[in-house]
Amino acid sequence: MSAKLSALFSDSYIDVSQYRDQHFKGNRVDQEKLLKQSCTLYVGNLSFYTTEEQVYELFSKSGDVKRIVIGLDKVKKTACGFCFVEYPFLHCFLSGAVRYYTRVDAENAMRFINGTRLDDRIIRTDWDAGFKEGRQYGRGKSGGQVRDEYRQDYDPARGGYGKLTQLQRTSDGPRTF
Amino acid sequence: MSRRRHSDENDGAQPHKRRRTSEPMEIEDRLESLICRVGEKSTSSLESNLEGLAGVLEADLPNYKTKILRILCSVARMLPEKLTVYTTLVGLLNARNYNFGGEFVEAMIRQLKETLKSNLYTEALYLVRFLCDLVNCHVIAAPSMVAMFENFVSVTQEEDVPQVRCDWYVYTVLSSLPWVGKELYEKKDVEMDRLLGQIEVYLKGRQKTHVPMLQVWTAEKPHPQEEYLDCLWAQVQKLKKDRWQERHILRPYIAFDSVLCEALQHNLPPFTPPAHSHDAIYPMPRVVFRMFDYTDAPEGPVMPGSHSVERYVIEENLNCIIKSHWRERKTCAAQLLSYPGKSKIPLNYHIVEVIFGQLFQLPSPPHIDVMYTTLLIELCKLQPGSLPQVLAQATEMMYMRLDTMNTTCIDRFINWFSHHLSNFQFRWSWDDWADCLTVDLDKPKPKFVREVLEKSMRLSYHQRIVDIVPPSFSVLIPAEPIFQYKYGDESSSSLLAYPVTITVGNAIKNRASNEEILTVLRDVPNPNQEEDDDEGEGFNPLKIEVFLQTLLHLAAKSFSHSFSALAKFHEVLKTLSDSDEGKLDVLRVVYDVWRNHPQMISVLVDKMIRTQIVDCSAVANWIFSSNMAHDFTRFYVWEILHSTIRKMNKHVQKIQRELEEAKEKLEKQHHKKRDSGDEEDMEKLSGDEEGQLEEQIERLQEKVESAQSEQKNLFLVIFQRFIMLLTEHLVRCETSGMEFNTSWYKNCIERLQQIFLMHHVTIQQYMGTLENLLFTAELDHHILTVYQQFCALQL
Repeated sequence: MSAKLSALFSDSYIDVSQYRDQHFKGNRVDQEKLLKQSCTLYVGNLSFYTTEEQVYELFSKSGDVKRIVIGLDKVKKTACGFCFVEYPFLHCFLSGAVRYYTRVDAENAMRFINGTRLDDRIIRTDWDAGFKEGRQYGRGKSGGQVRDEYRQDYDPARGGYGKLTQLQRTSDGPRTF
Repeated sequence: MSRRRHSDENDGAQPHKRRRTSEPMEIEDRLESLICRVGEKSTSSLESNLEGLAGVLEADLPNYKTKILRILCSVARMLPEKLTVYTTLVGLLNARNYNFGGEFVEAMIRQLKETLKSNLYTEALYLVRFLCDLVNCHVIAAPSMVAMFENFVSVTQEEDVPQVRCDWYVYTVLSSLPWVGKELYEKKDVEMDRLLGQIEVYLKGRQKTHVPMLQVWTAEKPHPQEEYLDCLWAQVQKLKKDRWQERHILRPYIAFDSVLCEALQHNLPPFTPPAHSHDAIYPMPRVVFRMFDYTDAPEGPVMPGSHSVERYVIEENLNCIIKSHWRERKTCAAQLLSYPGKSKIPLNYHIVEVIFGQLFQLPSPPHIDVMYTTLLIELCKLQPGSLPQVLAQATEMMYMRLDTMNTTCIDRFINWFSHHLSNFQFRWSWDDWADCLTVDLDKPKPKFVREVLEKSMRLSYHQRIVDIVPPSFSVLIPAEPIFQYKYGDESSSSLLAYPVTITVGNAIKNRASNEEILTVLRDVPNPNQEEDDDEGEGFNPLKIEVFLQTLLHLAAKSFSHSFSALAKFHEVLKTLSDSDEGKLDVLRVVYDVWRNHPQMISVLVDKMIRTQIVDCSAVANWIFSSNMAHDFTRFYVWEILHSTIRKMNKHVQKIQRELEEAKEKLEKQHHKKRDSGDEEDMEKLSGDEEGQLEEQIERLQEKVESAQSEQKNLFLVIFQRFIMLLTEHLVRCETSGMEFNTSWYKNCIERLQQIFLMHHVTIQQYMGTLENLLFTAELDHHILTVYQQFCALQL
């Protein structure tokens, strides 16, 4: 009898973002499908010093964490400020003849952990199509994440200045007035 | 395609989706939007918005009546915090179109029946309240409402029904009175008095064994934790004394009185409450959470008293807002803070009280714990000048009252506070809590601070914790989470098995296979070895110690390293842990090496259960073993136990689902056979498949039985151990004349309670066994009481 009031039951925090992994192996349709049913979250804006243990502690608040893969600098093989968090798939309920599988743990992380702080930094979570070997490496030219190539601010938890800015600063030399 | 990511400021909310373009859909969307949004912030007054909307809907009735009916029924059910806005709207529509009013009432009754059948009691209550307020809007005639109430209250005369069934019907009547009491009394005071009299008799005769189990604090001061029906009854009594004058509820229909009183009213059809059935799941009883009163808000509007009906209405509305918007924290916070009538009440205090009331609710909060943390942070962001202070005041109050706070609630308090602090650079006036340093460390206050610091460390790192507390608090700082290797320093070289640890270590580093490791381990001297046992086949606990200590030492760097190690040498570990003692020894070693890193112990135990190196009962036995007595009151131990029970429950559910799926598949096969034309062909083809399915179903059936048996055994082990420990303590205290109610005892008995509360759904299945085997009349009454209180929860 009741209508599905889309105006009322907004759940925008679990929507997929605009970002699409350009290195995804497969077509756009596949990617969308995987994102919609994924239980894996990408977590960004981490400090380089944030440990697997800290991520476990925080993300366990929305459910049992299956696995964490810490993102690494491709060259240095040290943490470079992102990670993947995997939750288990949960069979949930039978409605009529249809069985609904839910990913409620991951959804709750999107609703309640995304946009809060870890190691004093606002972290960002997003749906991920699924971890594959190789995706744990940064894709920036210098080995870290792309965003750390081009940013101009000074962030002590992410190696200081962005790579480009670092190069510029050394080539400029000491300033004299 | 652009690689643009949404900015970090937009903390997660996504832009709205594009609308559909077909016309009728557009109009329906528009109707939905108009109806859902009425009552929200607007440049025009609420009255003119309602007037306008009534006009629009009246015009659309010929074409969109069904849709409009559906939307209005839904908002009645799903937006109870805007009750009076929508009843006014329906009132206006009824005044313009009598038939529509009648159809709406019929639709509401149908919806009420459905919700009751589907165990949606909270929504059913909102529907009844809506119908009541329709009396105020001249849509429903008061006498027919009273008649419905009379039918509700007559449920209390039913025999052999659970108390919680009668509770709901009585609660529904009482909880509607703030809205409609005045009108009903004006029209039918004799009947209403009779009704209230019957309710009073029922309430006096009600069982209240369950109450202590649900109270957040055991103390009566400063705020008694009242049973919810008792509190509401007191509030209704006070309202009656005040001649039903209720001034808090927003009543837009008053402005339209001249229009509405011209309208013709409808009579509610006679409504018989659906009969009790065995699959009915009535709401559990509750205890009203109170932590503030008028003395706590230093300035500004006064907080309504605990037995005032205003207090009830405010709490109801705030709870409804959270129920509607919990998924979207920004919206939820904004809606809470824009509560109509907020200028007359200390809104921040009400909000904080309601939120903690939900967080600490027993058996469990209505929503996931972390939602409340994030909601409070959002509220602090929106009211940075006032809300953080109220929150700090609340925290201080709860700290002061830790002595009488239920252990489960303390757990949630610890989790909330540490997570909250981690979002605010761990800034806190720790010195204000210096009193916790003057008592034994096992007392509630210092214990609380220690656990908070431990959780805070998990979210940051050891040095951070050292930095944030004053030096005087150093005794409460957790140990540095470092591996304790028995064979690590020079002194260990004299240990019996030291040489083998070197060999094993090297073998692991050189990527030895599982077999090679097992071979190496044969050289481990066996302290238990019998003289004629040359093969070394007897159980050798030292093997486990040598191997596991060395392996975990090499893998100590991170969780991932340790998980890899467990996976790589799974075979060895399975072999070594192949007996009950073996499993206990594995757990003992894990504890020995990681006793300063409880988080690591938790994840390793979890991993070992999942990879079947140890089983759930072994973990339970380990927790209750004498080696763990020292840590028995620490939070992490209980987190491990509850996590273990949950894993067991999920395992059983998973196999049950597999069985159901296989049965469904077989059903489908049978249908296919029946429906197909060519019987012979189908039989040939599916004969095999069916056979396979039937075999599979048989196997799964066995698996389910075996899993359930394991589950039952787990609970038996846990309860048995509790009973043993508690009985021992009670007997010892009695014979030596000591006071039995020590901190340890309070912790232990509340942990027993917690097992019942947190897993009540599963435990219900095994009540018979529990009562026959364990919770018998011979048990000390202190322990038996816990069991009896639990049984009273679903009477």
